[in-house]
Amino acid sequence: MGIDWGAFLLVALVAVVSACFVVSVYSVGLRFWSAADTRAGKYTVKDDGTIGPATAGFPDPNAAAGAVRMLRALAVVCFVLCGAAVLYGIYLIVPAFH
Amino acid sequence: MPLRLGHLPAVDITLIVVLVIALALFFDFTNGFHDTANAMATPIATGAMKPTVAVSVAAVLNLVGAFLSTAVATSISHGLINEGPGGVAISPEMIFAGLIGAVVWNMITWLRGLPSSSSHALFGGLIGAAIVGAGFDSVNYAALLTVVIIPAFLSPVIAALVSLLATRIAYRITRRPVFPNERGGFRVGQIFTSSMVSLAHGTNDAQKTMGVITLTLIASGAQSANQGVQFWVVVACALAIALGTYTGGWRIIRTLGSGITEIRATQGFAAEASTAATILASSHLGFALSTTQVSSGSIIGAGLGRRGSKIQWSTAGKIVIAWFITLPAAAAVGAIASGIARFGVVGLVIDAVAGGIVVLGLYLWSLRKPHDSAIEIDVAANAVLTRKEQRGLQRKKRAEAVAARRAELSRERTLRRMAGRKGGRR
Repeated sequence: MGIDWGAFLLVALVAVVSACFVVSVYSVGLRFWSAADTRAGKYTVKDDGTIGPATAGFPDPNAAAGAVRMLRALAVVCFVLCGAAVLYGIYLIVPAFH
Repeated sequence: MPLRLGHLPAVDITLIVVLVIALALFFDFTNGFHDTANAMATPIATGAMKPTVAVSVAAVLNLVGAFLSTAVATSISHGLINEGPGGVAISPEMIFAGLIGAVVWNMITWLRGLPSSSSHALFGGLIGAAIVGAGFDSVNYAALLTVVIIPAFLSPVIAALVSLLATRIAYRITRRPVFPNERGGFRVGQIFTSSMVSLAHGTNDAQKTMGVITLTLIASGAQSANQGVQFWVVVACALAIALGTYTGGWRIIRTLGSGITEIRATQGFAAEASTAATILASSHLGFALSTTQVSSGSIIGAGLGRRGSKIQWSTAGKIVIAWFITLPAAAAVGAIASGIARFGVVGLVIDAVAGGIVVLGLYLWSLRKPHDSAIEIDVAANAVLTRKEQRGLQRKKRAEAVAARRAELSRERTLRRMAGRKGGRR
């Protein structure tokens, strides 16, 4: 019987790569986003690494606006990358596009 | 054709075709009804989406998903059943019998609260009916193994592994305590991943019905075997599954009222991403897998991805048993129905009436005796114990041991006191 084991392997590989890609890029995006929040003064990070309440107002007027904007932009890039990966996957599946 | 209804005129053949299509669309409807929960239970539970919005989105995406591809439908209608010299060896009557088998078995498992797969029931019913109706040669076993059976057993395992890995990655990247609160963002992400699961559900499950209807059209001679799936079939199936999804919403909302197992947004996000990826990749290659089993596998994987969790085998066993048993059991019901259908029109009427009575009876019985409608996702989530739950169980066990010891001691003390009394027992 000609069972195409390669096809199963392909499904497994595609699933692993695409799911892990989307999840990790999205997580990295979230991390950038919260780094931006921290920079902007939403939280204070104590010396031992734990989180404390904001000391200054949020958004903190003294925070480096450029760094915050940079981090937010990186986060958005990550989210857009996720969306693009998903849309590309759908594009590959739909025969009408080919 | 071997097992045609003898001398019956063409009009009756058309009638049976219409009946089969109606039954297939009904099956599609129940499928959507049943599976909304798989995609939408977690985002509703974690508060990512409002129930009404979630259900509407699921319905629309199921509709869209059904139009995306026809690979699965083609592999069902053109690969599974062998063609004899006079075309396909099976008749619409057998497909009818197979569908009855699937519907009845689905109803039974739903009542018993088993997390079964409607797709496996469908294939089981059709296979059983075809074997009894047209003999062992009528089914292409190599195709069956490749397209249905192996994916059925592999896909949940693959989904679980992918989801385990994805959950680990998500937790690792967003590790506390350095950055606060970012995991709340997974809740927003869940809106998208659960939508993808709905889309994937539409691409895979709606296509199974399309495949069955196309198979019927080929078997009745209304369509040549070389043609693909017709457009009106796609539209009908898409509408049926979307409608079922929409009306199935009340079920989730009711179950959520009674409390669903806690799934963190991070786990839900990772699980849904894995489910969607696995189903979409399989749909593209024409594998008809069970979306229910894939979702369950992903949820178990995500549960294990959290540190310190462990599988609770008593619940996981239930899933595995339902997973193994559905195909043969539905095949048996389909075979019986097909055997009865061999008596011609009378047999068909008996089949339809018996199937109707069983379904109606089971439904009425379910109304009389309320049961917790099993949401597969919830059963699967229950199969993994978090560390907190393990501790709770241990504490309970310890408390029981202490209570037993205390009872024993007090009994001993009473006995001793009684023995110490003068004159023994009074």
